[in-house]
Amino acid sequence: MTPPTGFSIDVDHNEYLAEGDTVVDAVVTVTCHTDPEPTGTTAGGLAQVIMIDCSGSMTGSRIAEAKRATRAVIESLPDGVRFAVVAGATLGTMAYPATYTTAVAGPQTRAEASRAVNRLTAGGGTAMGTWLRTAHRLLADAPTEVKHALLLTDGFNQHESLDTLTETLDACQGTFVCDACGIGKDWHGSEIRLIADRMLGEASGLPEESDWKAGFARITQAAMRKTIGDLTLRIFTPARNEIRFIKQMNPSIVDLTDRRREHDAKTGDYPTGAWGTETREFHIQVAVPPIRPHDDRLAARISVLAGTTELARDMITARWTGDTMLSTRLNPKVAHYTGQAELADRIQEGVAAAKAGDTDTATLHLGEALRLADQAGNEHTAKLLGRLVHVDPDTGTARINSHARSVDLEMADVASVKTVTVRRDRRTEDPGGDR
Amino acid sequence: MTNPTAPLHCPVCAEAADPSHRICEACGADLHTPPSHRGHWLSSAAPPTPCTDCGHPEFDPHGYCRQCGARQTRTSDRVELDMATIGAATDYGKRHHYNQDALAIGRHHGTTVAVVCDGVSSSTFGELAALAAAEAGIAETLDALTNGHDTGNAAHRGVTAAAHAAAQAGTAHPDNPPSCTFVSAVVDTDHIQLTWVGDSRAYWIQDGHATCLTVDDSTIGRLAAMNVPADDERYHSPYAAALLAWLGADAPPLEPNMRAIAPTGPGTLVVCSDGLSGYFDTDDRLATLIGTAPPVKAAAELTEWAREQGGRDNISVIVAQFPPEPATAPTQETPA
Repeated sequence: MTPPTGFSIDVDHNEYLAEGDTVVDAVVTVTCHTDPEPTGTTAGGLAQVIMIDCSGSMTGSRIAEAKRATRAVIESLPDGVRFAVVAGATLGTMAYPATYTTAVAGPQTRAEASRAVNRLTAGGGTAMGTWLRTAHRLLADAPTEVKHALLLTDGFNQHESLDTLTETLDACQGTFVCDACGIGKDWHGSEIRLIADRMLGEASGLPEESDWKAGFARITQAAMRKTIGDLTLRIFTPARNEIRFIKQMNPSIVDLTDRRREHDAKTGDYPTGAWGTETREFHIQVAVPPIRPHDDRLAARISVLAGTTELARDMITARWTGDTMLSTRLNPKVAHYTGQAELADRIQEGVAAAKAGDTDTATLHLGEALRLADQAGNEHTAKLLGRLVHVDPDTGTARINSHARSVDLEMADVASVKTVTVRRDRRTEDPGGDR
Repeated sequence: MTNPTAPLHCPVCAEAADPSHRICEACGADLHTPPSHRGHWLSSAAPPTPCTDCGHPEFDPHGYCRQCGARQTRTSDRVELDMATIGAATDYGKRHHYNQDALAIGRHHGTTVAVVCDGVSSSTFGELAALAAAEAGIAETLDALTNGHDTGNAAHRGVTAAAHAAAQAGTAHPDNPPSCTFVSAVVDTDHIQLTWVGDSRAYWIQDGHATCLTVDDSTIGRLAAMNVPADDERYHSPYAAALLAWLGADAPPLEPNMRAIAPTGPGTLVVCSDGLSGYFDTDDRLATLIGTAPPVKAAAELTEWAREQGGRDNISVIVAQFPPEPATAPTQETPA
């Protein structure tokens, strides 16, 4: 059923608990059904800032290819979209326009921007926090509904401390959404993930120069489909309940637990960034007082807000049952996303171990990750993991691929947060009611 | 105010009353209600009490405490309602955790009204629909009687209001909204008007025999009503017992069953949920169970009997005397 607001919430959870149980797991599916207008009419609602790495490591064919790909993105910007290009090195400087503002896309500005991009040269260090601060300055003033940035880097953040970067991310959080993409072969997946996670964007990697043009276009086109600037999940929990965690689990894993803004003593708001017509799934774990016989309790009430307007709501309940068939049955969606979270942990730990030279630990985690990815149907992740580890189909023994490139590790790291939804054929349908 | 020295009978239950009292000791009705009042009714709604877990007084529309989240059911687990010539009892039985049935009884001058709604247990919070439907149904029926509608018209307005209220109760549960059955009886001095949706029933008992007056809205119920032989394979289809009609946000278009009967003599009407009728081997079983006790006592005895049979479902029973007024009932009220 589609409510008139165009939003719906579905809750899948283990509703029935045995005496003494205290934990309720729920997967909350939020769908925006509203068909966004074609870009022509909503273009005025979007501001897009492209941060392109111009550090010394980009010298040669890389800067040439990056310029070509960026120009293609600029050419494709619909009239009316606000945009800017930031040249990233030791400082984030304006490539286009010349002043700290966003330009309105049109035949003239697109041509000027292309010429400005053509004049870019590679040189200097990498301090991504400065790039983000420039984007923040541009987007904070942009009069648009959706504010989106894309950070493209071919190296790691070597001329700035991690503390400075995280402080910058904290300051920028909530102002705009930022996708982060590693280009070439010398970036760090964990850094790309950090930026995308904090800025509620997507992490990705494009190791091959030949893929850049299509890759840049894909990321910027995805941003054009966002029409709602910021959606908030509001969660009410009764006084003795506690939210253990709330994570976006699909399309990618973003831990929102620490993003809570207190609305009142029992209500917290969690920002989820910009939305288009899409579905996202969130895993919420709530602790309730130990269940007693005949208990029927509210675990949490969830609503989706745009600004202060409530678009949809539903609730998570917890009921006692004496029937162990009911209390031990794991909801298929909860089980699925618990597995996807473990997959992400295994990949990240396996990659970290491999980079530290601990082959045994890396083999253990990556082998298990490949098994989990195959089982859940994460074909993309399984393919990336297949470059790192071989699993003997007969014995199940895992072995690290000694020919794997370091960028293959980074690609797996970035992909660790990408999830798949529950496969249709694996879903267990609820038994029918008695009417 | 009425003249405190004039003899007074309760306008609702007809019991003799002390004119200095504000409310009737027998049924709780306001003794000094002006005649244009829309009648008086009682329902099985639980009296509002603070949360039993934390003492907080406020609950959300689903019954969850706004402070600690513990749920309080809005229907009484067990209650008896007495309005002299009509009485009711409900009990949540032995298997269910709480009562998903709701009932209401009422009176307007010489006419009594009974409503039983059974919350469908496969829906979410069926008792929210049941209580909303029972209260809206009886209030609208009495209102219509007050405004001069005949019993058939009043009953139809009642079921329409009940269907609307049950659907409203489901707005927060679009996937599996609360739903319920409905049966009402409007009893005046000449006849009994029955209105139902679903499988809650009404029985007429006269001269030691009981007859079911309603036809269940299920394949089995309709086949049996057409006297289709018991060996017909349609009785054994997987969904033969499933409800074909109910009230709620996901209900099919409202087409209430309506039937009026004109009894040939005094007798007793029983309106009940399947928590009672499910234990009848034959209709006449009911005739052997019901004695000469006053209606509320008879309703409580039938409820207890269903518990003794196993109490596998919620039990709701209304017993109404026909004709509704004792022969000695006062025919006029003291004007305000």
